[in-house]
Amino acid sequence: MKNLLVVSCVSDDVKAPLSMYILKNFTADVVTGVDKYSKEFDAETIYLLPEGEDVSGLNGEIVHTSQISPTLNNPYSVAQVLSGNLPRPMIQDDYVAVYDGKAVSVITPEAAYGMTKGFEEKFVAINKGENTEIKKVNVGQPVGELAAVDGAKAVLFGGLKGKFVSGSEAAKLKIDETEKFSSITIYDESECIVDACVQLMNKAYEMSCGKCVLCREGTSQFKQIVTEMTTGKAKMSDLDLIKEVSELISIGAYCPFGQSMTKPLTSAMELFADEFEEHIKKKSCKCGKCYKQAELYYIDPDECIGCGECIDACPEDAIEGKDGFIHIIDQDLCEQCGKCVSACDEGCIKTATKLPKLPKKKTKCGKW
Amino acid sequence: MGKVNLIIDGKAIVADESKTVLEAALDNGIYIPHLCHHDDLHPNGGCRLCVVKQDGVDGVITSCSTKVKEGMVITTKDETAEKVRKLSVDLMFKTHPSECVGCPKYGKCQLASISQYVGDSGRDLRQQKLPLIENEENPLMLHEMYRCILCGRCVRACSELRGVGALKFEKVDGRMKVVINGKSLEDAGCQFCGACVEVCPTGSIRDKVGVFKDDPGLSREMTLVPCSEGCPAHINVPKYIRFIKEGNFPAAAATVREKAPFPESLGYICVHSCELQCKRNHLDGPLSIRNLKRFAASQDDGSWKANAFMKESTGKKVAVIGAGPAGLTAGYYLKKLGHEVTIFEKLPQAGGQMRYGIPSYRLPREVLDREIAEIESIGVEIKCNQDVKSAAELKAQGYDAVFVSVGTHAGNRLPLEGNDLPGVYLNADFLRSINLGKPFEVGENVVVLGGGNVAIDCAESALRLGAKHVVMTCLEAPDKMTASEEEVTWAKEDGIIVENSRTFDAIESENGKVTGLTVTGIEGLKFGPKGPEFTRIPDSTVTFPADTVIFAVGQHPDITEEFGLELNRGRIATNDGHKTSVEGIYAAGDAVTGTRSVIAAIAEAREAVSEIDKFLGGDGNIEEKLAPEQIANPCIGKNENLTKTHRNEPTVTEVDARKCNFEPMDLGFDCNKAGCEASRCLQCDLRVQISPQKFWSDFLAEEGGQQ
Repeated sequence: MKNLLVVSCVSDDVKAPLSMYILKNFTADVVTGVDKYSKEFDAETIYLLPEGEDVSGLNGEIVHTSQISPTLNNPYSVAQVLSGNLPRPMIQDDYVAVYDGKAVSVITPEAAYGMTKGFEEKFVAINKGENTEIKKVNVGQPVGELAAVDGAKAVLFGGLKGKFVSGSEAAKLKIDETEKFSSITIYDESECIVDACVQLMNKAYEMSCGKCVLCREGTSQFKQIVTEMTTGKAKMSDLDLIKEVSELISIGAYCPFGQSMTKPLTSAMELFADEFEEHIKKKSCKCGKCYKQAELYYIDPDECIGCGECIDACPEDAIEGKDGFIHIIDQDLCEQCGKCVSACDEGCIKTATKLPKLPKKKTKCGKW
Repeated sequence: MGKVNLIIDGKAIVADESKTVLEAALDNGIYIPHLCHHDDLHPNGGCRLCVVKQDGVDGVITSCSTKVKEGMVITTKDETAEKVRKLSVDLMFKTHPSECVGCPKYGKCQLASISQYVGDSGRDLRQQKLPLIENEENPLMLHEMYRCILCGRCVRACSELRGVGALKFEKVDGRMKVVINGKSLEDAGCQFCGACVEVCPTGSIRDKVGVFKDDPGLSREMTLVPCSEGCPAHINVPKYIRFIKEGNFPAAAATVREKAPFPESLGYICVHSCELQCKRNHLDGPLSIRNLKRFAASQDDGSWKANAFMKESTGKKVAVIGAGPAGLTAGYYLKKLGHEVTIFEKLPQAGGQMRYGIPSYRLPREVLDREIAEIESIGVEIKCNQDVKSAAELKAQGYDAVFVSVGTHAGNRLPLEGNDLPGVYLNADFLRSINLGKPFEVGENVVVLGGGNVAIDCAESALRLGAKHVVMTCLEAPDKMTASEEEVTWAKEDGIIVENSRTFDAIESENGKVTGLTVTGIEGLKFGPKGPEFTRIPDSTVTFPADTVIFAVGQHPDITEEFGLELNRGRIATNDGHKTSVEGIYAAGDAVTGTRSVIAAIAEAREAVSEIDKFLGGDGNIEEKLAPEQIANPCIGKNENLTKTHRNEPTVTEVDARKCNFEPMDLGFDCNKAGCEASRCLQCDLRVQISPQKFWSDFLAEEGGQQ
C-alpha cells in the first residue's frame, strides 16, 4: 500500500493555536521537516488546513476542512475527515488508517519544525484575557521569565487538557517538551474560576468527538453541573460527584483528550475549593460574573394565539399549553435557550428580569 | 496463524494471535460486557464496557480492540474496570429513556440486558432527555433516535458492510447524533437492506410494524426473507434473483428446481405468494418474481442434473394416484429416493389441473410436456386412462405405499333454480372439455358465477370459444376478489364485464333453455362458519341475459367413500404427516386441502414424500443442492435511484390478437427486462448473513462458563 503523510494543522487546543502560526511563520522549516519525514517512508503529503487558511510554499496538496478536533493527530480521525466524515480516533494495535487506498500517518507542524530545528526550543501560546501571544521559548526556561504569572490568581497549563496551578507555583515551573507547556493561560483576581470552568467545559463538550461515552456524556454532564453552580441549582455533593466521576473518566476514556478533559475542572476545584463552595452554598460570586439577574423568557398572554409552535421547538419540554389556550413557560425547566423565540411567528415570547403577571390556570387565548 | 498463551481471570488460554482479548475471552466462556462491538463490524471501542485490567499496564485496556499477546495477564472483573463499566451504563441512561416497558424493543434490548449485568451506581448525574422526535417518513424503517446511545453500529454497518453510507454522525445543536446522510433515506442512497436495524442494540432504528411477520415460530431466515417464507415450497427467491442479475440463468433455474420440479410451468402460472410478501410492496410495488422465474427457467441448460441425487433402488414399490402437480412431484422424488413408482392417471394425459384446468393461453402445453418428460426420464412410470376406484384396493395389489393426489376435478353446483338446465356448466367440466379437444358449446351471452382465477379462466375461455358477451359476477367487492389483480385487469381489457357484490337468485329459462341469471346487489359481505353472510340491497335485482351459465364457485375431489379412505366434507382426511385413515396411504394436494395452487400442491407433496420415505425405511431427506454456491456480496453500495426503477411489466399480446385463440398471451420478460427487474431486488437475505445479536445470558448459557 502507498503511504500518505498528512500535516494536520487542525488538532490545536483552543488555548494553543500553534499549528497555523508555525506553518505561516516558519514555512520553510516545517516543509523541510515534513520532507525529511515523508522521504523516510516514501509518502505523499497532504496539508490539512482550517477552512479559509492558505499558505504558499508547501510541498504537497492542500486540503481544507471545517473540522477542528484534538483527535486530528490520530491517523484514523484524519482519514475520516478527509473522507468527509466527522473526526473520530481509532486507537488500536497495528491499526492502519486508510484514505484513498493509502496508509495514513500524521504529523503536526510543531513536530515537523522540531525535526528540522531540534527540540530545544518550542512555541508557547500565552493567553491573558482576550489576548493570545505566541512566543518561541527554550526548553528549561522558567515560566516566570516568559510572563507575569507571579501575581496571577491562577494559571492554566495546557488548555482543555490542562491543569490549574497558583500563580506563585506557576512562576517556578520550567518549560519542557510536553504538550502541557504549549499554552499558558493567566487568570487574574477579577476573574471567576467557576465561570472559567464553565467556559472550559462548554469548549470541551464542543470539542468532544462523541465516540466514547465517557467523554461525550462526561463533558455534557460536567458542562451542565458546573453551569448549575453558577445559577444556584447545584448541590455540595456535586463536588464529590465530579471528583469521583472524573477519576474514572481519566482512567476509562478512550483517547488522551477524554482522559484529560476533566483535569482543568478538578484541579480548579482543588485549588479554589472555597470559591466553589461559595458559589454552591451561598449562591454568590465574588467576581460578580455569575448569578447575574438572568433574563427570563415568558409568553405575552395578550398576544399568544395558542398555536403550539413554541411547544414543539422547546428542547426541554418546558412549555405547557393546548391548542387555542395561552401557553406558559415553566421557569423551573426553562434553560433560556431562546429557541421558542424564533419558533413563534407572533413574536409574543419576550424576556424580562422580572416576570409580569401571567395566567396561573388554563386560559383561552384572547380571554386574558 | 500463530498461537499465543495468555491468562484471563486465572484461566490459561491459547488463542489465535489474530484474536482480540474480547474474542479470546468469549471463546473461552469468559463474558466481558460489550455493546458497541458487533461480530461483523470493525472494533470501535466507544462504549467503554469491555475495558479490562492488564497486568503491568496502568489504567484499563479496551479488550475489543487489543490483540492477544504472549504472556498477557488479564483480569476482567477488576474493580476499576467494573466501576468504569458502571459509569458508562449510568451515562448512557442519562440520555436514554429510563422507561423500558413502553419500548417496542422491550425484552430484546441489548442496553437493558447489559445494564442488568453491569448494574448502576445510582449517581446523581443529570438526566438529559433528548427531544422526542421520531422519523416515520420511511415506509420500511422507523427512526426513534431519542433512544440512540450512539454506539455507531448502524453507521458502521451501513458503510463497512454495505458501502452505502446512508447514515452518519453529525452534531445537531452541539449534541452528537446519528442522522440520515441526505434529505431522506432514499436520497441518501439507502437500499433498505435493514443492516442498521439488525445491528441496533436499542429500539432506535426498527422495522416498521407489518414489514415482517411477528411470529416466534418462524426461523430468523424465514422472518427476514418474506418472499421465501411466503412461498409454500420456500424456494430461495433472493438467491435465484441474484443469479439472474449476474446473468447466470441456468443457476437460477437450478435454484428453483431445488424445491420444485416444475420451474418453467410455475414461471407461467404460479400464484406468486412470494410477490405478495415482497418487502418492496411497501415502497413502489413488488418484484415481478414469477416472470423472473419464467425467464430463468426458459434458459435452463440442464446443468443442474450433474448435482441431482439419485439413490439406489430400495426395492419398494409406491403407487401414486393422480398425475397432477402433487402426484408428479411425489413420483419424481420417490423415484429419486430409490423407490419404484407407478403413477395412475384417470385422464388421457398427465398434468392434472395444469393440463385440464389451466387454459393453454396461460400455460403452453409444450412447456408442461417438457417438464413431465423430465420426470418420466428418470424412470417414473405414468399409466394414463387408469381410473383407480379404490386406493385401499390398489395398495393391496402389492404396493408398499400409496400416495393419493386426485385433485379436485368436480365443480360445485350451487342450489339455484335452473342449475341443471342444458347450457349450465361446471367450471371443471367446461375447462376439461376444452383441453380434451371437445369443447362444450357456448352461446353468445355467457355468465360466469365466481370471482376467482378459475372463474376468469372460464370467462376468458368462453370468449375464446366465440362468446360475444361475457359477464363474471361474484359476491366479493372488487378489492376482495380472489382472482389475481393482473388477471382481472386483462379480463376487463378483453371486454369481460365484472359485476361485483351480487348474490345469485336464479337461472332464468324459457322452454328449458337458459335465458339469463338474476342477481341482487349485496353489502357487508362476511364469511361466517355457515358460509357467506351479507345484506341484500333493496331494488337492486337485475337479470343478466345469458344462454350459457358457468358455475365457477369451487371444486371438490371426484371421489366417494368407495375410494376406501376417510373423507372430511368431501375431501380426503389426513392427519400430521399426510397420513390417511389407512396405514401406508398418504395424500396431499387439492384433494386434501381443497382447491389451492400448483406450488402448494408441490410443497405438500414434498412433505408427504419425506413421510413416505421414512415409512419405507429411508431418512426422508429430499433436500438437494442443484445450483452452484453463491457468494452474495454484502457490499451493495449506494443507489439513489432505487425507488425510481419501477416494476417491469411483461410483454402481453394485444387484446384483438389474444381474445380469439388459445395461444399464449403473456410473453414474459426478455433478457433485458429480466436483468433490470432482478436488480430491483432488495436482497433481504443479506440481512440474514449478519450475526444475530447476542445477550450475556446467551454467552454464559452457551459456553457453560462462569456464573
